[in-house]
Amino acid sequence: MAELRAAVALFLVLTVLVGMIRVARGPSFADRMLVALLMGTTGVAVLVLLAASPGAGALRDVALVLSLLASVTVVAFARLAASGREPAAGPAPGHPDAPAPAPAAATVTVTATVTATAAATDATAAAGADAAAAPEPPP
Amino acid sequence: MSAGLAIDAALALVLPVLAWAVVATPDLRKAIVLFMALGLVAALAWARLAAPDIALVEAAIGTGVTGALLMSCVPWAESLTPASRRARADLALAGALAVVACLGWAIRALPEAGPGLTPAVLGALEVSGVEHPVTAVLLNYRSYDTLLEIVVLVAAAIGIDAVLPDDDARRRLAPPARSLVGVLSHLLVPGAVLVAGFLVWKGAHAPGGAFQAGAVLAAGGILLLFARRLRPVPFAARALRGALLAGPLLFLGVAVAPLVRGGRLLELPVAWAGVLILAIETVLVVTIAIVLLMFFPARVLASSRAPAATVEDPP
Amino acid sequence: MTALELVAGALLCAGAAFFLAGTVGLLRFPDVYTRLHALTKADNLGLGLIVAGLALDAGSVAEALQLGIIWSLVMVSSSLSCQLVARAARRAGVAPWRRR
Repeated sequence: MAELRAAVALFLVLTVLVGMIRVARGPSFADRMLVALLMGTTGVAVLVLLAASPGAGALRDVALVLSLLASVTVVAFARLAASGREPAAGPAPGHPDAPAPAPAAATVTVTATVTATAAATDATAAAGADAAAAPEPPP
Repeated sequence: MSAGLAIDAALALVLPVLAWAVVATPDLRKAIVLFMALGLVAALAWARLAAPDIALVEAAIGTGVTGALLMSCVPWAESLTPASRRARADLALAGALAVVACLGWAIRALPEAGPGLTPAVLGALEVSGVEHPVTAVLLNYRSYDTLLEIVVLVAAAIGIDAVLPDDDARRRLAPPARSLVGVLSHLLVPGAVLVAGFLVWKGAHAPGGAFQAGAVLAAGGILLLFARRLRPVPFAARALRGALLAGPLLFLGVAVAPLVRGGRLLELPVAWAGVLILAIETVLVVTIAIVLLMFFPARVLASSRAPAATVEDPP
Repeated sequence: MTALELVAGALLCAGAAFFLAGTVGLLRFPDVYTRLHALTKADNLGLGLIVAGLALDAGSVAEALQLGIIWSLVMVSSSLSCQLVARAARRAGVAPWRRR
């Protein structure tokens, strides 16, 4: 049983490492964030497997902490993705020595795959949070 | 080759490659995801090295709080000019090399392999007030290290307020709205508080303790801040300053008290050591969580208009 | 090897298979929404199977309970994280994939 647990843990570590190809490929920031989701779940799985070995029970607490905190980065990511869509004329950026970004720069910082649809949704997003959250018909 | 050894080999191969990739990737957003991957692989490596205390810290800070912190710095970092970014990168590289040089020198200065201080640590465990050797070292044998670390943390909090003053940012914050992040915070924050308490209590006899618990509590607070259920408190607020200083002040009090009765600095009475350590750790959790939350001041939170995703209201 | 150990081992292997499916989906599916779909569903089920396998083999009830708590936390956070990532992608203008 111990050998099987170790073998499954090894297999899971390998799936995470292979999954990291997605970080390189992207193309969007959201695609890369998927790897963070993958690592959160698989990391918990590897830790509970390792924790089943005698004397390693403390690793279950590590898994508990990881499962609790994995979503914090995703929440921060979602806010960052939302702030990237902010029009350049919006409120001042968050840092004292940050120069005001030019309108072009603000568009460039939007997540990698900016397509023609982005301009359309941009207008909706700028109209306010409620408008942006409302279900939109596909373009 | 056993599977356990193969896991170790995979982790050992991937760690330096990932670390290099984090530094060498010019795209900040890609680098952040790689950094979080590095944190997880490092946590697994510590787990395999039978160091659950460090794995716990790495899981809580390396993958949770630091990831959120880096994400919230991206708009600022991307607004820098390339020249300014390069100058900062050179400075960071010089700093990192200096730290590596110091660590290398320190490692060379270590005595040859041997039992080290392990027998001494385990031998005095009975009078330390706790059963877990790591906690005994951190809060009894070498508690002056921990005391000074806490003072450094408070200094860091003051530094954050100097760099990112509150001014009018709080007024630019969007009002609380029904949001997915709000739902998430509803579900996870009670768990974070419970787990933080669990880790402090467990620190007396197993891996756990104030730093890990503080990071978990701070993560819950970050969720609340992002969900707008918790307004950032200005640094000028008396309650914040009081809570921030409670940990160091209690610790200092316990440290100085023996001097009055003719004892030595930081000498814990054997009968009371367990209770005192638990009390210090509990108050330190609050201090540590507040310091970590100070890294998300109103100016950072106000840099975007609305929560990322709003629950769709029925029409 | 007892029957219980056999069942636990089978659950662990089934869990590993779901993790493999999640990673294959992450790498092979055409857009971020389908990748999310593959990843979060398969990995959560995979973790559930592994947790079930370990709980059968657990030394105490408390240990099995803690495993259950860990799984439910992952379910809560990953289902909501999945929605957050999908909405962020949609607002960033990532167009859903269509078969031509």
